[in-house]
Amino acid sequence: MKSCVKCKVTVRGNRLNCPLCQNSLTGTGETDIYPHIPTIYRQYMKFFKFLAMGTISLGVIAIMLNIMLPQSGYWSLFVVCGIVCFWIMLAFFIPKRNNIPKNITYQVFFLAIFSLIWDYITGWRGWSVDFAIPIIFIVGIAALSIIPTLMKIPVSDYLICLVADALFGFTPFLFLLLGKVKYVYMSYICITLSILTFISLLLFERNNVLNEARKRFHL
Amino acid sequence: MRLKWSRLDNAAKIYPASSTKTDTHVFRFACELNEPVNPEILQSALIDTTAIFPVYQYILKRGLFWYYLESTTLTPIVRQEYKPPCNELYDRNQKTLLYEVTYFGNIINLEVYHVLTDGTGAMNFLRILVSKYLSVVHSLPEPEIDYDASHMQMADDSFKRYYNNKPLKRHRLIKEHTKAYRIKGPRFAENRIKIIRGMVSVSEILKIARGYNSTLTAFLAACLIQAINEEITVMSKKYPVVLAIPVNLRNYFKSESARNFFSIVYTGFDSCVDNIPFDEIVKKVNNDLKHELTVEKMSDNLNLLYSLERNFFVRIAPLFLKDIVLKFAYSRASAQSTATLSNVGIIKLSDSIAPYIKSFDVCTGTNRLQVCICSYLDNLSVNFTTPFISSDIQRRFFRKLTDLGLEVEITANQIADE
Repeated sequence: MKSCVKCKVTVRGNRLNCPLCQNSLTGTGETDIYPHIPTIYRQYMKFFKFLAMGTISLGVIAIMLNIMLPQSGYWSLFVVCGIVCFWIMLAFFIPKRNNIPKNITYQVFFLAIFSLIWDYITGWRGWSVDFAIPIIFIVGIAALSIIPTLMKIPVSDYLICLVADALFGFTPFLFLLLGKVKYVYMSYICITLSILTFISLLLFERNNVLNEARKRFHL
Repeated sequence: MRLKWSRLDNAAKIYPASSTKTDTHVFRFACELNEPVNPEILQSALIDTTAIFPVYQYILKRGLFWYYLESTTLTPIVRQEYKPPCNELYDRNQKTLLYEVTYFGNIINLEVYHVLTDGTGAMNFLRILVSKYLSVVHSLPEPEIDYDASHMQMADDSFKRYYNNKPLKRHRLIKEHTKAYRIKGPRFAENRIKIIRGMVSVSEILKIARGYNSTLTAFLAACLIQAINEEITVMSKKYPVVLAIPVNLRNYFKSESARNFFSIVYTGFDSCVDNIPFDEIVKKVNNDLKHELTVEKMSDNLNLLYSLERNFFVRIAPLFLKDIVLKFAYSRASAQSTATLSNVGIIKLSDSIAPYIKSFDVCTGTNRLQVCICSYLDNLSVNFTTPFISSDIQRRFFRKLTDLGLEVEITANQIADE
């Protein structure tokens, strides 16, 4: 065992310096007590830095070009919006990448919101409420009914997501009431799917839904 | 028998909100054996132990209003130590158990997230794990453990059990807590923490503590206060040095809970006077503790904390709001003390396996200075953890002990850029 003359203590392990006063130790060392843990290498950090650099330069170049060519309209705004949407989606996707059901729910939610905003700022042609939103929700509900079953995820783990997606599925009804929808078929298909999802949940998973609600909403 | 889900106990409620990369609220119990650990036998001993403690087979999840524990079928896997001590165990995006068993050389480590249990609970778990492991390795009859609790007793939230809804005497509870001195300085990269552990003889140090008419905890607290006092810069001398000392409430209220059941008392000393005689600090700390450690004070404190949890407006606040408020409350509370000194107490194991065990020690993740003490046979382990590069407080503390004539054996972890 090593020892520090100045601190008058013995020191275990195979250190060169005293952990208390940093003076050099005397005596012979022994095996280490704690493992050496190397610094953590962040595998994907470089990739994300390049991605950030690439998208930001794209935005900056687009804005500059737009300023140089003012007669071409405000198109650089769309480039910037697109980049922002991309990063918002990524910011939600990456931390939740291990939780597929939650991920689907988030993606569905953001895609619907983004399509509404895009439709609005590009002069409201109604494609978002006619097609985009009902189709996104139909795909969401279908994905949540099929994928977890295939991946053998226990029902209680994705139940809340399925309920949330089925609730989203009723929003086309709101647009119908407000008279915003010109092409109504997709909206009706979406609402039908939502109703059927709810009925099947009530019939087959009633206890699970109640338990899950009790857990998540306990005061 | 295992509950499908469970609320967090009263003390655990603050931890998920206030955990950070250094202040992980993860603590480690380590048991050093006299021979290298056999991972396969440790794994099977661990599986046997989890059957006794179903109360730890939970994952932490976020509800709309509160965090909760959800029962899981995940089995713990014994691994060789692979990450820095007391690193985070809870990741909100991943389903993981809230405890982990690792080994390195002769040492078995149990790391536990404070949400699950406190020192007493974890100690019982490790005692049973080590007993089972050693009895298999050395083909001994498995020793009886003096821990007797049904699964329901283990899962008990004893804060709730002993909350008596007595009207609170506000003037007594909300004292004018002044800000305590805060240790500052450069920290290690990557949120690493430094562990410096000193081993001393229990009988020798008790002799010295008794010479000062003091209990062991109070004596060590006084040594620590003096060590910090000597390091304070002149500008910071207006702040007192205050130690937070967790107290095991099982000693005051009958409980076999394997979850959190502790309270915190404070003791301190004004730093403005130079060269305070050591025996005065010892006397002050002993008086403080004698005054604070009464059933009435413990009960008042418990009532205050539990009534906060029961408050209607607190209950209906959504979780993300609670997170912010609890984080703030935690930082306010931790500003009242300079460091934490936690004495886990005496660890007892059956005589038949004692020859195979060298020592026990405890440490915890922290963003300031944390001292954990435990004793096994004649070995007292005093374990300093801190994210600060400077080890001057530790040097002064251990030199104080050697000046008093004690033999100290130091163990420290090595951090890459040190």
